[in-house]
Amino acid sequence: MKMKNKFYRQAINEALDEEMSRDDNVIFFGEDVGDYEGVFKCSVGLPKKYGNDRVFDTPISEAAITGAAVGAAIAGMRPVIEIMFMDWIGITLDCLINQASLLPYSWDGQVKVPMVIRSQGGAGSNGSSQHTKSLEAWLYHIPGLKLIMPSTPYDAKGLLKAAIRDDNPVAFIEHKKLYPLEGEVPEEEYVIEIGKADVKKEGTDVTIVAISRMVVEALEAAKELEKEGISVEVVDPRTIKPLDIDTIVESVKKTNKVIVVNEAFRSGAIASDIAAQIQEKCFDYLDAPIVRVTAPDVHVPFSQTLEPLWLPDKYKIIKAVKSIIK
Amino acid sequence: MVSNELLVEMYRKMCLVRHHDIKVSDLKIQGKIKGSMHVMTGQEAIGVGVGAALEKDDYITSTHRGHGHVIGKGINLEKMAAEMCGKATGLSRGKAGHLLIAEKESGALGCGGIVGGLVPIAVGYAMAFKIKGSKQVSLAYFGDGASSTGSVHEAMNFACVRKYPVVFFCENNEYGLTCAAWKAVSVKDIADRAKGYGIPGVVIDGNDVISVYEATKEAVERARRGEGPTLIEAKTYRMTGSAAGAKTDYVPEEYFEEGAKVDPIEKFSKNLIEKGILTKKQADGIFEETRKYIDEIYEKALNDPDPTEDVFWSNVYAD
Repeated sequence: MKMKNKFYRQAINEALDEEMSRDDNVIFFGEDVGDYEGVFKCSVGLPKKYGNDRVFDTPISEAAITGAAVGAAIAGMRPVIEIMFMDWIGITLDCLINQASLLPYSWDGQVKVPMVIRSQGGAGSNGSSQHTKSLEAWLYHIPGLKLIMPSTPYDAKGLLKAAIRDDNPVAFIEHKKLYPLEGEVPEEEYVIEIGKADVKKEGTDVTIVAISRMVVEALEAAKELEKEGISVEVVDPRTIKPLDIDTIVESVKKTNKVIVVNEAFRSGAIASDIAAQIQEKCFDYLDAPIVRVTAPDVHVPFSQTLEPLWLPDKYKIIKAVKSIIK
Repeated sequence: MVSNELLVEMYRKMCLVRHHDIKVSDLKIQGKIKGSMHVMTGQEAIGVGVGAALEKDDYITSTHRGHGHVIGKGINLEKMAAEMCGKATGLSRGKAGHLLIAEKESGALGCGGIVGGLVPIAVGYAMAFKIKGSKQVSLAYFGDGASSTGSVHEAMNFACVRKYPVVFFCENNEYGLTCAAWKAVSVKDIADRAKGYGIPGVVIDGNDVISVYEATKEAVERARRGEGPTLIEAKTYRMTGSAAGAKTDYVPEEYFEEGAKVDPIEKFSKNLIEKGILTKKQADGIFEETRKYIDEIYEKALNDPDPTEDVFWSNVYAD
């Protein structure tokens, strides 16, 4: 397969372009995604190519944006919306929790809601407390909503295409520090199946399950640990819900030790649920407690000397691994 | 000009709605229907007048007090009754109940328990209709209480900026649960806010089914011509508490006295009799036969089978 180096944001852009080209019902709207082509430049070229009916700017109205996407999806479109910062996902929640995720259930399959809500979170760029949060735990909690958090351009493109083709509401959460990340992407069209984890690096001594940008940190931690003779396996769930717990368990059965890394506030972090599922499924294989590496239950500070205290990183991952490996 | 046939049909439908909500209120108080029960006795002209002005493939979003809306839209009443009773034969096989009554076939999409929550969705319907080049329109019902929600404001501004074919229909019965509108709404006439959104706004008598029909028809035609949304505010009276069996001691007696004077069904039947479109006997006959019909369908619904476990697990995800 011929591969080309792309930025993560280009991978998102290509997925949108290909799906919009393939299916007239795919539309894309949100704040500043039209003429400005997106604050993270994910919609470069799309407004000109598809016109104002299909790619357009909205007012600053997350509730209306989300609700309109639900309605348009019910009425036959396949809308993709962009919620600029995940910190504002709260305003979308009524439409996500009480409409998108549950109308197919409560109206008993009379309607479906094939929409994708794209957003991004993440700290480490001096964004302070209101532009840095990763709140995917709230979305994970809701039945009927799928949740995808890709860590590479390859995963991002293949999974966004799959999300757009999926007939369910899908939350597709990117990371602001991943947009400039480069990676190999096939030149030919491809789609990645939703609900399949990816072993990003094989190893034998410890499993690290990492979500979104923490995959990058986990791989860097793995490189460091390798020098000390510790062989790390990094598992990237990619789809957080439905979670591919089987791939994770298979890895834990091999290594007998697992760290779960999640850039999120500690209480109720998805890492907690993953840890609970692992010990339910393979308790007898564990040689050590499951350790979660998360941010603390503190908001994200602005100062560049304080933010690193919040942010999970390769050093904290290395420390966690060493705490369970003698 | 409204045909006599349509006038009589509207009268019949208003009777159906009246008897329906009295029936379910009784059944709820008797414990035969579970859960909350938000009835709209006194507001029958609205759902029926609006429904008559819409086509089958136009979509409405309703509210928690929406039986009249969906019956006016032409919902299958037997399946609705079964759903109200939580039965396997219901519109959602018992998963929805009274708060989420919906039927795609009749464009009743649908009732919902979040105040103001479905209004942005009606805008989404209109977005799809416009992009597809369809002549369909959507109509979003909401009450005086919901008029304060962020959802409604955002939805209205968005629809107006994009000129989507949606009609915003405010049913002002002057109470948001127990809170009187004068305490919660910053203007006397919610329709005045239309100017703020750059669209026409009209206040109508919500207890006059012809006024409701005509105002809706005009707004719907405007939307179909591509001229964008309209805000209709229909003044009416909620002749019960916020729910079946709920107390009404916060409502001044004068409110109920005024409401009784303008009962929409009495008004309309008097009108039809005066015009010679119906005789009193015929009007009474329709009133009686619709009551019997409602009794029959609920008798059946209460005895329909309960949903089985497979229904519980169904449609969490679309396949």
